[in-house]
Amino acid sequence: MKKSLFLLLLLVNGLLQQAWAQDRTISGKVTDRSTNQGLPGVTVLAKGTTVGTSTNSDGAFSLAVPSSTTTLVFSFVGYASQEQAIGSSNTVDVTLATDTKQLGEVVVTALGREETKRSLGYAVQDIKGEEFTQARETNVVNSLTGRLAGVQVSNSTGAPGSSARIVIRGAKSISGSSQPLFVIDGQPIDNSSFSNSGSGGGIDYGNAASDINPDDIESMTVLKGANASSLYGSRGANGVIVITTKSGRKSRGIGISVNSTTSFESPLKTPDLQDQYGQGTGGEFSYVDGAGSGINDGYDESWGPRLDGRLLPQFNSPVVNGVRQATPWVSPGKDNIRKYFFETGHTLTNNVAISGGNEKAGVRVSYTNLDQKGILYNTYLRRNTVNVNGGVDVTNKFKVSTNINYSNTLGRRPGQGYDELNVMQQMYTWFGRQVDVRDLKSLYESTGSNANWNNNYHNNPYYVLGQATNDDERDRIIGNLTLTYDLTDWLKLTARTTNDLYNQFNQRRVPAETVSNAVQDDYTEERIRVLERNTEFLATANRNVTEDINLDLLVGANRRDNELNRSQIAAPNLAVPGLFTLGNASGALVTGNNFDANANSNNTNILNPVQNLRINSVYGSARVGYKNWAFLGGNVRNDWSSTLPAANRSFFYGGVDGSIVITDAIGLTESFLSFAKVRASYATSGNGAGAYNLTDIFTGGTAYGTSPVQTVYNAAYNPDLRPERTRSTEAGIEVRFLKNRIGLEVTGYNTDSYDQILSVLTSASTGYTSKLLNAGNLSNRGVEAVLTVAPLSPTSAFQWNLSANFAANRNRVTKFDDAGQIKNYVIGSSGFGVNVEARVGEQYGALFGSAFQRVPDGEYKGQIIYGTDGTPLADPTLRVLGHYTPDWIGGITNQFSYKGINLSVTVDTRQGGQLQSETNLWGIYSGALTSTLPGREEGIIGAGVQRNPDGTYRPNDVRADAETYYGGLSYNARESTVYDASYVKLREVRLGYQLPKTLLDGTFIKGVGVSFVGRNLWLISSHAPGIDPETSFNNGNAQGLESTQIPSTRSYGFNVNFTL
Amino acid sequence: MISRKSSLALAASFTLALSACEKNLDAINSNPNNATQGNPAYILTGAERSNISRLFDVPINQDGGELIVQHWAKVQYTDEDRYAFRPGSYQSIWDGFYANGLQDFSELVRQGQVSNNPNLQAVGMIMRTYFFSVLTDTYGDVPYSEALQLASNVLTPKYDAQQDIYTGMIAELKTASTLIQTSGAEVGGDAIYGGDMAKWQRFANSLRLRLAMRIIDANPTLARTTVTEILNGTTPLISSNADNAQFAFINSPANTNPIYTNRLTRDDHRVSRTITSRLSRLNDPRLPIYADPAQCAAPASTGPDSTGLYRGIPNGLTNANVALLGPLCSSSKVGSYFLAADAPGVLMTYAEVLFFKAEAIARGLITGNAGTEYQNAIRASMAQYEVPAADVTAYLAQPGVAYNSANYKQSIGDQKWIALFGQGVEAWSEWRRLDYPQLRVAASAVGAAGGKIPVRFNYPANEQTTNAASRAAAVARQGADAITTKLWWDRL
Repeated sequence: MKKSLFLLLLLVNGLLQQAWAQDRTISGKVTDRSTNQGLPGVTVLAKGTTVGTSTNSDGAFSLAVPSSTTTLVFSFVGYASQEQAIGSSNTVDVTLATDTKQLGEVVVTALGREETKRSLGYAVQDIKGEEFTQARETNVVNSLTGRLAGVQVSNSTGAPGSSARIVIRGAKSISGSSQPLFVIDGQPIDNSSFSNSGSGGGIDYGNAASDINPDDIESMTVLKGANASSLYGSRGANGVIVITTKSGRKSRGIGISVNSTTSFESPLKTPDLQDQYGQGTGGEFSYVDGAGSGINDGYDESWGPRLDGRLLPQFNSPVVNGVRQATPWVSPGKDNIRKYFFETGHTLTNNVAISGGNEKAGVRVSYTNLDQKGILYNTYLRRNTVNVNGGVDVTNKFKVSTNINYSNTLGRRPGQGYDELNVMQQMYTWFGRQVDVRDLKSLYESTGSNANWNNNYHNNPYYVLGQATNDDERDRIIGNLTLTYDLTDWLKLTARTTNDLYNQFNQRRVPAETVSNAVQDDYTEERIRVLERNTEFLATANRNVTEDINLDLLVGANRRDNELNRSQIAAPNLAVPGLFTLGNASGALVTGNNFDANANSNNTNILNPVQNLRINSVYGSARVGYKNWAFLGGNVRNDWSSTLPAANRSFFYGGVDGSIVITDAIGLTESFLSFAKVRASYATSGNGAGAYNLTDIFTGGTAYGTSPVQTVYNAAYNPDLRPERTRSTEAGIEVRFLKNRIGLEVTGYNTDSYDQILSVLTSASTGYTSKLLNAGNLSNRGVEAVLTVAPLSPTSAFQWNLSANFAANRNRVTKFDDAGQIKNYVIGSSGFGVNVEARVGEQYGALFGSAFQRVPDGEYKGQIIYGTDGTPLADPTLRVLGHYTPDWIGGITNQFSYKGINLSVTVDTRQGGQLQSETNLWGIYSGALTSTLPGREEGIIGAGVQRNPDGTYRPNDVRADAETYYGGLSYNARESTVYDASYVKLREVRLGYQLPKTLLDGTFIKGVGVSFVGRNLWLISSHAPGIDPETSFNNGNAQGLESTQIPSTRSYGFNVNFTL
Repeated sequence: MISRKSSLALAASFTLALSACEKNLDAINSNPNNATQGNPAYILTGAERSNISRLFDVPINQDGGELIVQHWAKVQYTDEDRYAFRPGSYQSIWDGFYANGLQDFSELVRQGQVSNNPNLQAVGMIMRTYFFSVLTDTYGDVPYSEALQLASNVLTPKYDAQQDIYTGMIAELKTASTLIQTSGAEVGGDAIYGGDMAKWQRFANSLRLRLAMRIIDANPTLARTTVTEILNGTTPLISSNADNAQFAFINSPANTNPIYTNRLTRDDHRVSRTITSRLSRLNDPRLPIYADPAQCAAPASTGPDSTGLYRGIPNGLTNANVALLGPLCSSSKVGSYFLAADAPGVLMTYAEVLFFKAEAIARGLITGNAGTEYQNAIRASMAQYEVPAADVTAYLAQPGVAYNSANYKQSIGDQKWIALFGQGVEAWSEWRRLDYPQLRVAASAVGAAGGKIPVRFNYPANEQTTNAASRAAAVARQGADAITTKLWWDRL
């Protein structure tokens, strides 16, 4: 095929050659200045003529030119055009530099349209594909961290395949998802998270967008506001991530690329554990069975004897003639857990892509294998992805293209949250500090049992990871078929159908031996089927109405169907031990809403196993350009949602935007200011509800004997729901100086989300714990800026590009219900008395909980009041302890390149915002942390006051023993463990080298690149002790809470890519 | 302009197609998963089970009333035994009783009205009142008159003063008793009395007696009128242990007694030394029923234990102090009777009615022999546990058990406290009202208890989020939201 293409090219050249009298033939090679790689497809023109050709796949060209030609012009999308005098030589080699002005000029916007960035009245930002493939993240969402202004990404934990949360310009929805819509080649895809991980435990199955394979991404454009995305309807209100996949069209001939990444992971930050005192309480300990038969051997705290080498019977002491011997009571080392419990994770990713194409057709087939081993024993994620992207011009007017992506993901994931099935719960909060984890491993491996240092509350962590396994498998097909027909040269019809279908199968095993499930083995299966289908028709027109006026029009209609089927079946009591199948159930299987019967905390009741909804839409959009420097655009859309009552089902919204390129308007050329543009836009959007939110229901439960049971469901629905609404204004300026070497883009915006459909938490005294209402106004105001600087001359061999972004967002909850009865809304809860709330008049995401009692005024004003037991008292009136929303976020990326060597360094930061940490709360309570060492022997008089019987105060004079003091200090009021969540992180370092072409001459290899990459390398600055402040249970809105997290990982490795 | 026309035609045809689809949208949104109608029999079974489970579950009973009145004590996670109750417990009690109890029982009252079934209405009212009384006896002022009115868009119900709640509850029980037609429409799904309306009527009147006696110190007028009316000799009352209001837990998942369920995974509770030493001193034949023998010996260092094999432990130990007592097996667990999967969930007993009768006589509300009723009450309590008659007689003959007419509160208070073992909430209320037996504050009580035994629970934290103004008004009226603030009826 390659040969025939080459022949075709020759033929084309030949035809051209015949048309002109030719005098000489110039040949040469065009390479990329930064990579030294040959550039295929570069247009080579003899200046002043129409004689020209394109470079071949190696970047070589040969062109017969008229004798009058003195100069060749080389041009290629994304590169600065270059003119080269040919002189007398018949060989001309040129290097092209990327054009900072051209780069990003054409962006893919809503509904897959390619638009010039200059014409847009709103902010978009894009990232090229190689950014994702060199420093690979298992979850591609994480690759966006620190790169884009106003885009905040947080990864939940260090477990393989854990979910990532991405929020653009602040949370827009009080209760629902604030996650952006992901669109691949015009196809919206599902990004659900079926994780049940929360404060009380559960599994994080990741978010579905993590199925996107970085190797198949050509580019990613982020549409940040409702203004950019209102054509997607309400789903675009949180922003849209538009992904264009690689296609075969661009390659001429056959191209093969191989990309391989190997990386290693280790915990980034772990708590600072003490190594002075071991297990026990009151300074006493002696082991018999770890369940209370010895002295304090059932305790999971470290208030025991000093680790001074005294002789005590311990869990790992030898038993001689039935008597457990006393062995030295010593610390296994401060870093015992960090060094020996965590394993070195590694991730191997291999991609092979073959592409081929010509002017009429192209195809690209890509296969990727990901194999990740977690930092916890026996945890992994494995994914195979096949992507086929093809297109063919059936006729000059009729084109067909398709993109089909199949992925299979296998995961074995650890338990999360505050639960005994999360191994971190004991490691960092409840632990005997004399325990050597290596002995736990050998105990498990030699006996296969759950024998542990504590058999009362905790499982042997190796037994949990080895036996209480959580396995999941997801098969997913994302596919679309697009037909386009060019009615005229300016009017095009498009029909597209898209399907995103996946089946997920989860298996959870809880052996009877675990302390959480005392009766018999417990096994649960969960099956999830998700389908999103869109059928779309579009008519687009683009025409120059006059010489100066260009008109771009679109009308379309779409039907979207979403289907969810989800079922859980549990066999709570298995007959044959260790045989985890439903068929092995000894009693009745438990399904649906009946999990109240089940001791396994990882089972959640599924209220609606079947959820179907449909949205029909029609929409239109127009953009008028005047002399390519003034633009005015507008769009309208009407949706009909199945989820709303008939009277409110239809809703209309739209927006307008305008921009003026000032430099072009006033004809400014070749000055200090190379480009200036102002833009502004206004947009509204609307949204339907979830399925089945209109009618109250009764739920069932396990029968009482043979008598069925029912109960009024605690959530009240609402037959009068209206659509949710958003309105947004945005204005921005883009300027570039010194021939585009300095660029600055600043955008200000104001978004009001109102009439939000909220399940408002109500006092249970209403009879319900929540009520669905159109309630909740949330406003987001913010400013974001992107600065790009190229300090060095674009023609110099050494290149330096700096890109910095900054975003500050202020959001405020202004109202709930119209009558003003509701003032607060609970987003989530820590399980230990801290709510994450939306409160009227406050920033979204308030951490609401107990504070210390303090002296209101007088001499001791502000001091903490202690109780008679010498511990701080809690104020019964709860208050806002902080907010998780940051004041500002930002990132800086520096890229250096020199003769094929590239270095890229990204640092990002989040400043402001707080979090509450359960790891610290219980780590202090249990005496595991180093911060509990002061006062161990002599006790502590806490800093503060005592209240006298007459109401006056005196300095605290009650000495509490350390165990009582630290217990009260950490547990009495949550204020104790609220920390500043600010951080500065060295997010990414990439050092790459592209082998010079000359080394590869004469081989079949066209290019070789190697790079060393590190991600999440260094927590440069942080205020939260012992934890990565960038943490959460899942990717929901209840952020700002940390509970016995699996540490986030630092990863480092290398990447090799070949092109053949 | 052919193409413009065609694009218009295209758009028009889409619009037509869409409007044709619109009628499908209703069908798509009809819920295939859940019932939108409730069957009263199913609701009654479910509500009885879930609420009576909650009444004996950890937060309000095992880590609440039973610890506070020193029937039980804790050997692990001793926080509650030192009066450090968990915020989550306050919340689950409130949410559970209001949203899963009162709401379901009110639904039955509503369905009873709609379907013209006064018996269903009455059962809903009696059960609703029972759990309103549990709530107000636990927290004090709580939402009552505006509670359960979400359909009328009351999102933030006011808290009623406890005296108004009591007036309302006493009136509602009378209404319920009047509504009952013993040969009227059937009530299905009743796991307490199997739909026997005569027994429901006895329970309604007995419960009204309990509520009236509860307010005797705070609203003597209403209490006196009500008690004399009920004890007039003709009002049907619980008149044998066969009439006891109790729920039969059964040995199958989700239907087991919550104490049994707790013991499947936890072993934190022991019998309190306060009650083991009292029962031991009185040679009470209920000791081997209330407590199991210790499974191993205590270390010699702890000294001889007066209870012999039945070794209760002191309340309010710190972890360190528990350790000094010796291994966990050296102290007595709660008696196996109460740990059985099918141990009954007792709402009200014949013994309680008799104790109230004795007290009413002692207070001069009615005539009779208080000592006789007191002895009958003890007999009824013993009969619940099938203590042989001879043992009961021997027990009653002891001077320590004899009725003391000079201090009826002490006699009745002490014996009622013994009889109410296991019924933590009611035992706590009656101890607060009678102030007998005289209990010592837990050994290492936390500072927040102010050196006293708790007399109420704090409002749940979410009320400060969801109903802040109403709660604030209640706190202003009732006193600080603290476990030391006395309830309205707890005058003495």
